[in-house]
Amino acid sequence: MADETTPVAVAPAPTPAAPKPAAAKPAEKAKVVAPPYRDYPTIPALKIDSMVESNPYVAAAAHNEALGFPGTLVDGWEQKAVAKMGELLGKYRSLRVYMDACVHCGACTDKCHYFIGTGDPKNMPVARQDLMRSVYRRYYTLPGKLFPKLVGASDMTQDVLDDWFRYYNQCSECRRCSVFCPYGIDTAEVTMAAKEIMDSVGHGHKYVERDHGQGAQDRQQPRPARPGAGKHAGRPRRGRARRHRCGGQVPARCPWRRSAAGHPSADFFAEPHVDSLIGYGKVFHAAGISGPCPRRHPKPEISACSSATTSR
Amino acid sequence: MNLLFAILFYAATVILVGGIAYRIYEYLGTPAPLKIPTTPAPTTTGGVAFRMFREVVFFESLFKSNLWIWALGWLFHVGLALVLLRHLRYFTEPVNSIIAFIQPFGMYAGFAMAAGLAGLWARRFLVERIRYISTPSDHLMLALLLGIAVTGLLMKFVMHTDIVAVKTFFLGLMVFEINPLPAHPGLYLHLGMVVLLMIVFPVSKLLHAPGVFFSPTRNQVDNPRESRHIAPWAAQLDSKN
Ligand code: HEM
Ligand code: SF4
Ligand code: SF4
Repeated sequence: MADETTPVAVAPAPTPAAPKPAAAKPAEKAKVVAPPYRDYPTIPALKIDSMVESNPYVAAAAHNEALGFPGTLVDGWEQKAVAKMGELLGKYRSLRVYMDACVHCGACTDKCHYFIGTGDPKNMPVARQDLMRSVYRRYYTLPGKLFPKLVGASDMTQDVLDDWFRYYNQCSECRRCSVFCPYGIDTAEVTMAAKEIMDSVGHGHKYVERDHGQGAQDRQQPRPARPGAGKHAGRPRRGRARRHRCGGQVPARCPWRRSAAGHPSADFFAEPHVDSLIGYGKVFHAAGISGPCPRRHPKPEISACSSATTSR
Repeated sequence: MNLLFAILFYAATVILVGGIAYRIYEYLGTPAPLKIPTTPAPTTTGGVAFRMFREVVFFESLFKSNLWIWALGWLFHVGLALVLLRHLRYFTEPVNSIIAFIQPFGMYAGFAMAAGLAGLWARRFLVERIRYISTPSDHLMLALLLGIAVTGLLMKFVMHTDIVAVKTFFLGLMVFEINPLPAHPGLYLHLGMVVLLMIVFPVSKLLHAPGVFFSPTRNQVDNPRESRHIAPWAAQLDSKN
C-alpha cells in the first residue's frame, strides 16, 4: 500500500506510556491485505449453465476394464443404469431416504462452494441431487410414472447422463450441505451412487479409473514400488498412499522421499500452496526426519507414519 | 354426499396408514452400511435421541442454515401441530382435558399456519434459487395446505357450519356408522382437500416427516472406533477376501 521509502506509522501512538519497543522497524513488516470483512455473505446470482463446459474426460476402455467395468457405454445403458439405481436403493438407506425426503426448502442452495464459486444453479446441492431424484421419481415412484411433469421427473436420457457426468464430477463429496439440511440429506451419498451407476454402464472418469487401476496394480507389486514412480509428484498414487497411510504403528518409510505420495502438485509448483509444503518441511525438520526434498536425503525410517502422511 | 365422504375417508385412511407403514418398512429393511453421522455427532444413543428431538421439535439444522426458512417453516409446522391436536375433539368423546385446554391456542395457530405457508410460498416466487428448484408439485402442495387452512379458518370465523353434526359424522365413521354431514360448501371443500392430502402423503415429499427419523447422518451414533459397524452385504464381501 504505502510507498517503500516512506516509513509507515503503524498505529497513531496513543499514550506516551505505552511500552512498544517492537514497533521500531515498521517499514519492514510484510504488508498483507485481508479482504474486507462482510457482515452478510453475498449469495451469487444464478448463472445458468456457467459450468456446462466443464466436461471431464471419459475413461478409456482399458482403464474401465482394468477395474472390471464395461469399456465403453454399453448397449441399453439407460435400462441398466436405472436397474443399477434400484440395486443401490436397496443397499443404502441413505440413498433411499434422501431420494424421498427432500422438500425443496432451499436451505442448502447457497451452501456448496462449487455453487458459491460458479453461480451455476446445478451446483446447488438440491439441484445436484435432483439430477438423480428426477430419474428416481420417473422410474420408482407412482406420481413420477403418472405425472412426470408435475413432480419434475425425467427419463434416463443422454442429456441426463451428460449432466450427471458434469455435475456429479463437480462435487467433492465434502458433505458440507448435509450439515445444513434439516434432514441431513448428504449429497455426497447421491454423488457416490451416481458415479457408481455411471461406472457400471461404462462411463467412468478418466483420472479416477486410470489412477484407481494404477493403484490396484501397485498394490499387487512387492515393495519397493516400481522404479521412477516418484517422478510425478502430482499424480495421486492411491495404492501406495494408502499403504503408507495405513502403517500406523508399523515402521514405515517416509513417503515423500520416494514418491511424494500424498501431495497435490500445487504444493510444489503453485503459490501460495507452497507455503503448506514449507509447513510440512518444518514439522519434519523438527521431528528430525528428512524434509520434503525427495532425492537428496538418506532413506529415513520413521515409526509412526500416520500423522505425517495423512496431512493432506 | 354422506356416503361419498365416508368412503373417501375410509380409503384415504387406509392409504395413509398403509402407505406410511410400507415406507417405514422399506427404510427399516434397507441396510445403512456406512457410519456417516454429520459431525459433531453424539457418541451415545441418548445423545442421538436428544439430537433427533432438537431436529424434529426445533428444526435445529435449519435454524443454523437459513433464518427465513426456519421462521416461516417453524411457524407453519407448530401451527399445524396445534391445529391437528385441536381437531382431536372431533374424534373423541369425552374430550381429553389437555385437548380442551389447547382449544383457544389452536384457533390462533390456524393463522400462524396460514401465515407460514403464505411466506413459504412467496419464497418460491421471490427467491431466484428457490424458484429454480421448485416444481409444480411444490407449489400445489403449498396451495393444498393453504386451501385447507383458509377454508378451516373461514368456517371458524365467517361462515359457520354445524360442528356438532360434523362430530357425529366422524364419531360414527369410527364405529362404521354413516351419519349425515352438514351440507356446506366450505366443509365439502375442506374435507375434500384433507382427503387428497392424506392420499398423496405416502408418495410425496411429505415423506420427510417419517424420513427424518431414518436419516443416517442424523440418527447414527458416532462410535465407529468403539464398535465395528458393518451391513450384512458388506460383511459378505469381507468374508470373500
Ligand atoms: C415429524 C414431523 C415433521 C417435521 C420434523 C417436519 C420438518 C420440516 C422441515 C424442517 C421443513 C423445511 C422447512 C420448510 O420449508 O418449512 C418442512 C417442510 C414442509 N413440511 Fe414438514 N415436517 C413434519 C411434518 C409435516 C407434516 C405432517 C406435513 C403436512 C401434512 C408437513 C408439510 C410440509 C410441507 C408442505 C413442507 C414444504 C414447505 C415448502 O414447500 O416450502 N410436514 N418440514
Ligand atoms: S458434498 Fe458436494 S454438493 Fe455438498 S457441499 Fe460438498 S461439494 Fe457441494
Ligand atoms: S436443505 Fe435438504 S430438504 Fe432442503 S432443499 Fe436442500 S436437500 Fe432438500
